[in-house]
Amino acid sequence: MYTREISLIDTIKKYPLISPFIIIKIDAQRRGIEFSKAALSKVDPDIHQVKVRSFSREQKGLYPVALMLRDGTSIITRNNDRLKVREPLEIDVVDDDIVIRDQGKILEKVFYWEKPDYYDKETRRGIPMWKVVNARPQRLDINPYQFCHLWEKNMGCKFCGIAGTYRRSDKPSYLEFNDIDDTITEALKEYGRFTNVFLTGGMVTTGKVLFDDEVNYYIKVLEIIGKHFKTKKFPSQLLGAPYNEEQLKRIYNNTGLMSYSANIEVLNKEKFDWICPGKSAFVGYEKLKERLYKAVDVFGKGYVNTGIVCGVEMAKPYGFSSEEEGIEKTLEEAEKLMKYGVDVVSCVWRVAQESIFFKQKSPSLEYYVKIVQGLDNLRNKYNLCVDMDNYRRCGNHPDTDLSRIW
Amino acid sequence: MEIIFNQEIIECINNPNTLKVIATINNKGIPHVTFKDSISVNENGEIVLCEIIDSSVTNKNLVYSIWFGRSVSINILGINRKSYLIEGIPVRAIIAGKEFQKYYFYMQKKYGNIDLSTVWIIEPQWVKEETLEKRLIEEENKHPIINHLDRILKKKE
Ligand code: SF4
Repeated sequence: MYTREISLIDTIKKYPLISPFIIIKIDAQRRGIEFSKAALSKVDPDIHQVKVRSFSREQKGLYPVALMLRDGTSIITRNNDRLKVREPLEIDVVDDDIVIRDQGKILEKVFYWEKPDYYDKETRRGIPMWKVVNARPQRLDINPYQFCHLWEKNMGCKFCGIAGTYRRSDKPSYLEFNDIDDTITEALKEYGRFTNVFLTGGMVTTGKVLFDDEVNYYIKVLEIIGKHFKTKKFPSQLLGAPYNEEQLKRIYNNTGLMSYSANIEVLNKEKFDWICPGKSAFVGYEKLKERLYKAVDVFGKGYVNTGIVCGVEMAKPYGFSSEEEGIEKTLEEAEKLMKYGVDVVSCVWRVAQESIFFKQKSPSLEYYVKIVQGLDNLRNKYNLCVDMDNYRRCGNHPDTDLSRIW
Repeated sequence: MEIIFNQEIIECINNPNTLKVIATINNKGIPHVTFKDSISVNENGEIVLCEIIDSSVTNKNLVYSIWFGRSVSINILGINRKSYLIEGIPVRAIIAGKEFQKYYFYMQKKYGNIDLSTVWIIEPQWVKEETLEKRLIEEENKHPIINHLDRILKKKE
């Protein structure tokens, strides 16, 4: 049962100690956005980022790929889906400023992300670089494997839309090493832009041992990137499969990688088994947690985290039966991980039309506010440093945004 | 935005030899004061603060201020001993893009190979001259009843 929902404006009033910027961000992600004609006329493809190719997204139109608020908070969201599960927030122009609006009320000014210099260049074999490496405001995102073995076996996570995205596009399943090399070389020529390199992609289950091929592939990519730096380690994050101890050590010792994530997605074993059948079959909930704890031994506290798709635990029919229960159980389980030094970061569940869950509805805004506040409090309690996944890196975790002020 | 600064104040703020401090508060109301050499005024009459250290208390407190509309205080002391107090509200944190890069290059040119976290834009609300000589005259005029009596005793022959 979902709680009766209160509006965005009333939620901001009800939670005066939570940043209104972050509440707006959550709702824009949860409900999507819609650009007015005037807002679209402010898009300049020579300046703004309108193209993106990642393992979970393909966009080459005139829409800005994301927004930024006055405080530097990113809002990674999309022009509203055809399904219109919820009423989107509106992006419009007032007094020459681009603004985000709900129920006729202007909430904040917004800015469109600027594209990096390398975006329109091509690799030595003529591949546009935006198709190889995707850019966040300060981060280079590489998705070497753009599909997922779990989907090949029809065991993908039920909220995940990457199979649909992949099948609708012309992208290759694997990126070519030379394309990555050319793009990274070019991207690093732009001084003052990037502070981090991020690697992720679909799961590769093959190899001598489970995930070995994935580990070997990432090691190769990290070597290609690492050759540019004078230090052995460089600011970087790998969001990969839950590796075993030997694999974790191999990747840490042989590359410049500084931080590691493996997503647990849902903080409850029963819901995890239902929502993530592939992860459950290949690794299992408890084993995934154990592997995260091992990762802290290898990478160090503050350099390991796990992501949750916040809200999917409420999906019907097997999700939690009330929002109160969902919040309580999620934070209870998050605390166990954080106590061990594994940070838990949340993404807002945007119901993806390409996913199995496409007919579901995400929980109320208040649900998210309570969970992100709870995660931020726990992080503070266990003194977990948020650098590896803060607002300047991913920009997609409202709870790490809240950690900016302590 | 209303223009708050006159040319003399702009020159004083932009002078590299001027001492500049900023006072901010955190979410518990605890104040924090620090010298910020990198404070300047831009062509729009706004204050620009280039924050080098991402995890500095000032940076965190400025985020708190922009989130909840809290003011910050800036005080400057020029080489001519003239001092100005400015109240401002942070209105933008620029962390990426061409505007950010402009300041990134400027800071590297000035300080060598250092990082830049955030370019803060602070909108001044008001400014007041705080130079001691000027304040003493003001105080005498506005609050003549406040004074130590011995200061106004007749001089003994
Ligand atoms: S592991 Fe799950 S969430 Fe990740 S790409 Fe595969 S199916 Fe999607």
